[in-house]
Amino acid sequence: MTELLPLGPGAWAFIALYLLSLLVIGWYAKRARQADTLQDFYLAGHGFGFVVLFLTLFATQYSGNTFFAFTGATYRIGYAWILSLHFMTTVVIAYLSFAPALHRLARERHYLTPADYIQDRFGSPLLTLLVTVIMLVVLGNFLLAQLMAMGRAMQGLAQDPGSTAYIGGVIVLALIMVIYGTLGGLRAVAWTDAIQGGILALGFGVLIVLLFDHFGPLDRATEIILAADLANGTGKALPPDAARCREWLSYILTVGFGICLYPQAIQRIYAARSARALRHSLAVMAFMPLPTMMISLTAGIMALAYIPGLEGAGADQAFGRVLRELQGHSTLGYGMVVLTMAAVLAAMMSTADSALLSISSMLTKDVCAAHLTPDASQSRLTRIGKVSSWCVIGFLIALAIVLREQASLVELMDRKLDLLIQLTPAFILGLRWRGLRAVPVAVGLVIGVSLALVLAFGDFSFTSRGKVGGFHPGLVGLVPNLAVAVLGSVWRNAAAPSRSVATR
Amino acid sequence: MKRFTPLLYGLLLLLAVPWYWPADNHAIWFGVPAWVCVAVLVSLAASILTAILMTKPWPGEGDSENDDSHD
Repeated sequence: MTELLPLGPGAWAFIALYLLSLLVIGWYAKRARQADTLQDFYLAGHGFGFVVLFLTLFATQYSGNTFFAFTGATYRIGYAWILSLHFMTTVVIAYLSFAPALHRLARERHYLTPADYIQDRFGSPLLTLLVTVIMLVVLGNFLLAQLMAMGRAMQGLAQDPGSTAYIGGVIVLALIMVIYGTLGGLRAVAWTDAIQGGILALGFGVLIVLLFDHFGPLDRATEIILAADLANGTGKALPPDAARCREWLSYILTVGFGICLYPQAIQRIYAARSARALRHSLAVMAFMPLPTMMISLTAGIMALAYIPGLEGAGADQAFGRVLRELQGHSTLGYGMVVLTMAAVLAAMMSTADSALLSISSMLTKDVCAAHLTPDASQSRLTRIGKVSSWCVIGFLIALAIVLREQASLVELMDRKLDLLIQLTPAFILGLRWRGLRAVPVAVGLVIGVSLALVLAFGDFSFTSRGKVGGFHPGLVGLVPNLAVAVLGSVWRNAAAPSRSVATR
Repeated sequence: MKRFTPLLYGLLLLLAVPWYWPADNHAIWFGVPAWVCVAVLVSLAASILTAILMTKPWPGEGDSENDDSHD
């Protein structure tokens, strides 16, 4: 993004106004609070209807990755990144497998965090602790990636090749986020998500028009890439080979089932006012991958055809280079790039604020209320939650500054989902099969996570960037995880059938 | 329809991954490689199927729920 032309005072004023509006919304959300309880603060009193629920799901699911990493991935592997369309659609399909039962249970049992369901369903403090730790690690990683992306975005906007704008961007944007988050809780986060989702949709719409206006029709770009394929054997427009097809399948399963198990996604299922509101929101969400993924794919394809030479990690700069082209094209292009940059910031902040609130809720409910301060009042716990948000964000700001030269965004995303998908037996199978038992699930989880991490970070002759034959380490780890959970449960049920847990 | 849902999704998954295209296919449909065009159509079919399923009430829906007719 350091290739952008300098922004004028008008552009900075627009971005400042947008950031200020988030704080105002946070203040209004604080005034709208109905009770000083954890349920009201973290789940907005289960009050989200169709519109707010849809916009918050949309803004939370589509993050900075949608712009930077996905455009970069398209630049790197070509048209095969159309697989992103499939895995984003699979996320919504995966919700179908557990959201109906989980929403109903959450209403009946007043769940606040994902761990509440685990404890209620399995009655095992050990399994609950394991799930909480995995989710906290994943969310910490996720939030860190978003903060780093925010820093890079500000670095690009300010045209600062050094670290000042990066550090300033991380600190200012994170502070704004934590202020409105602690003012109004999930209500503030969802309302700002609604604004951010609106800007995001507008930015997407404008960007696609500008892309075609500036670079010309897609078929010309496709012909250029195809010609390069035939001349150099790059394979970026030709049908993928068997290895890429396996990777494709792996992405669909790992990302599809991983993203829907993010704690903030689960908490949105809890926060829905009704099953009807949730169903309708998810029905619209099923169509969102098409327009959103097509933007990053089109931007990546245009960059591949017309902006050659971005190799390796440099491919993550493809989106910034495309914006630079559009920015210099016309006054309209300049204005639209400003809007797009606001949309980029919105996408990052809306994803990050949800992650921060989820971390805070788990630290408060699953750690403090469960183990440290069991007798604390709801009001005191809410205060603890707010303090924990500030502590977490302070720690992660420091990490984002220290680790600012680290790996590409897609690699970070891969590792998080490798862990999250290990929770599939506990959540999805646990809601569908009463016979699933706590101990086998816990053992399977430990085996799955261990195998996924060893494959991801070990140096083996049979792996390529952690993948085995194109399959993500998380998916490989899920096989023994699932086998242990199912076979172990069958065995334990046969040994002691009367102890089978029934929660539904 | 519920009985056939996993089967339909399985079929769409089978069609979504472009394993069945010959490696030297150069056809361009609507400005993109033909196999990309098919992948997009399969995704659209999955979205439509999912939206249709979301129109059906879930088990237990309506029990102890608030009215959600407004936002």
